[in-house]
Amino acid sequence: MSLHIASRAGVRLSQRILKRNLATTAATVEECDVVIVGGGPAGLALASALASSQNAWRVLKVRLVEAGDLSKIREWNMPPGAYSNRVSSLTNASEDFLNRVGVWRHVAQERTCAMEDMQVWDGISDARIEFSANRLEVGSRSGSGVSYMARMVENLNLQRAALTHLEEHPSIQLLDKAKVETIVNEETNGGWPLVHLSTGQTLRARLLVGADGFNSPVRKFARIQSFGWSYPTQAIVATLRHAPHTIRPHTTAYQRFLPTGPIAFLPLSPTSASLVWSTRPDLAAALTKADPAILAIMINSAFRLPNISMKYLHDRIRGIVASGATLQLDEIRQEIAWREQSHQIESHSPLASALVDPFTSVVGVPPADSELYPPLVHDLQPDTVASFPLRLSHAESYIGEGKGARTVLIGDAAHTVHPLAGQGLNGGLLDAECLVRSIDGALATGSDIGSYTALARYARERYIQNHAMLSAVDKLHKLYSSELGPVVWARSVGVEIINELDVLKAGMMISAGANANVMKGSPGWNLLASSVESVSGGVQIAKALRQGLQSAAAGVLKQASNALAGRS
Amino acid sequence: MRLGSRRQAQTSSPVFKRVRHVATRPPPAYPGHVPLTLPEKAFMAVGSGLMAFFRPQRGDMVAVFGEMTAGPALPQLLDRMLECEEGRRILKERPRINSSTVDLAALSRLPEGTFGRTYVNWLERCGVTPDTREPVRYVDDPELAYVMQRYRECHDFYHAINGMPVSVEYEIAVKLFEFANLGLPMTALAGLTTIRLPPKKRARLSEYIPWALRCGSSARSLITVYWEERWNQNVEDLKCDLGVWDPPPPIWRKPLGEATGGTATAVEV
Repeated sequence: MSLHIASRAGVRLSQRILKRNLATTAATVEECDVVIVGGGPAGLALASALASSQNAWRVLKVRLVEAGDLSKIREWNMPPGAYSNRVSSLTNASEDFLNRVGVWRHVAQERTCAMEDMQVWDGISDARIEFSANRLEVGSRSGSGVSYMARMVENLNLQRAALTHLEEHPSIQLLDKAKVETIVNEETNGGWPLVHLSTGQTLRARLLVGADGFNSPVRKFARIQSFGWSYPTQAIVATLRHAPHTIRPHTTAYQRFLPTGPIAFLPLSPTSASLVWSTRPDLAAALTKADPAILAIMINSAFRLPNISMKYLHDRIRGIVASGATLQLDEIRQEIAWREQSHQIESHSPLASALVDPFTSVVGVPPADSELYPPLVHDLQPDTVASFPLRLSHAESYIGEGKGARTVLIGDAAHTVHPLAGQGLNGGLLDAECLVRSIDGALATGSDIGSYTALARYARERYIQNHAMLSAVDKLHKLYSSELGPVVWARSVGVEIINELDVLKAGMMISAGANANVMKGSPGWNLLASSVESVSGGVQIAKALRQGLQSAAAGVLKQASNALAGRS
Repeated sequence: MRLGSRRQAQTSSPVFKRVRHVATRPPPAYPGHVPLTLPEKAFMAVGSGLMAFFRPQRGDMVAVFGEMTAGPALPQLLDRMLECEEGRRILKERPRINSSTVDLAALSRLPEGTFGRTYVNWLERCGVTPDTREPVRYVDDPELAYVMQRYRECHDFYHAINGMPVSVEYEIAVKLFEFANLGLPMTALAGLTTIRLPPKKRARLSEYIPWALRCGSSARSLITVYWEERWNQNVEDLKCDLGVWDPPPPIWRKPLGEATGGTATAVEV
């Protein structure tokens, strides 16, 4: 009850502040409470969340500025069966947030794909870890009662849903086709940020939100340094088409860690999937420029051939490109076929790809272990092949101070991450969720939403979480870039032990956002309880440890022989 | 059901496969392959090593020891072969060297100074034939097994181009040359047998060791050479191509002219 009064008082206070400010500024300058720069997923999610918030939508004047044409996204419409190449795996935590905000019901559900299982393996040792939402009893349940850990959604599908949602909330105005020309400090009235737009408008922001991506102008205005580095890798994205499975569902994601970078196959529909293949920049350039059919057979072999042959194929491609010739489909296919033959891969093996017809390979009873590899890609959806550089960066602070006061950063403006764990977009959405909570809290207590103290809660909560995620992903990338014998051995033994410990795997999935709302329930404790309950829990751990020790012993012997030969 | 899927997961994991191999024997991966379990490999390595050390004439033991201890050296050799065009052709065609694939009579008709003629001369002078090579049996990967086989069959060419006889001290010198060039651990361990040589031979060998290490390490990786395509090449040109230079002149038991089917003991690889 008292809280309610406080919140009403807060709202009244903010309204008073608002009126006073309106009276004292020049007519050409538009007074705003929140100016969001950037109409990407994070910016639109923030605007949507503000529109659905408890207090903010009634009292705050919100403007979203976007340089591009938002009507293109609003009218975005792809025929069924065709998919955009920018796809994100939306964790259940993110989906829950979008659901609460009211954006989720506008997402075209038939274009999304629940991810129930995940197969991740080492490109050198083949050590494998399998995640299954159903078996580990982690994740949300879909309408049919099947658990899933994440959901593949096209970024455009998400953005369009947010725009549809915002149409119902006219209090939030979208200014598209408006570039931010300059951001300056106001000379009087406390030096608030003034955003000059290419349309001639000027916005005076109580709170300026930078959701403007990696090269954030807002971050530059706020003089917030960002640290990080570029990875020596480039990500190739494309929409893949494959023949439908006859027996298994199409809800498994596959990721193989090659020393050149991970390659991921993310399911979109029974016959489509999204590719994210990070590899060396010269290879990415060669493969994206080549005939898409070459890229398709290279994708198939990148999930299947031993590393020594992948390295060989990469060197061949480099050699051909360096000699100025163009890559020929038949030549590459012959090379792959030869490598398969050298490894004695039979034509009916799930590892065969070069000379196998992708359509006949799915007919009949599949070969043993075929569930360990993604289906064979037969071609790429036209005009979906693209590539972009990968980097890690993290702003030193999320809140501007001094001359940059009243600014806050979310999404890629604050942090960029390697896509191997699919956490980039989710981080941005959770930023938006947390920032709206901070703003609502500030309104409830009647404090200034642009003040440092009001925003500190956001920075406190998100900075450490994002940093942990960024550094975990960075270390994973580095760990799997190594080809050094002892490193490969250690990571493989580690992965195989984890693979036996369901409790640990479930914990990893929960920390990666597989559960809708960790704060509400206590799935981790439930899981621990149930695993201790079942006798098999203890037995499993003992078994895993025993197997781990055995494989460690085998590894020690191998290392000894390696060390012996290492002198060469 | 749940248990079933667990089992399946385990069969796919290589470390567990390796562990399971301690108890069960997988089917052969290529004709002539003898798959061994880990303890068997360890036993064979120790046994063949001791035998090769005390009786270097036992070529079969040296061969087994080479296979048991090859370890990561073979993948490295494979890598080097894949890197160059000539090596790739060898891997694609997988040529073998013995008296049925190589026409020795035709080679002996080649002009003096060619590589083919030099090779035949060397065979005659040492009284050896290319048919005494043990087949590879214990390397598990078929392609690596071929690389091992190729190394073994090319060993004589290294003798021939360097003009080295097959008696023990020269054999060790060639082995050390190979170690510097190819990095197979067995060839380094062959160097250990030096301590069993009589002082006179040991003194002679010490003249060759610096050459073996310098020349072997700076020459092109000899596993990548398609020797069969170079019969007609002048041997000096060939050595120049490969970056190999002459060792100190060896002492032959027989002068070149008298070379007939002699009795020299061939130390097999």
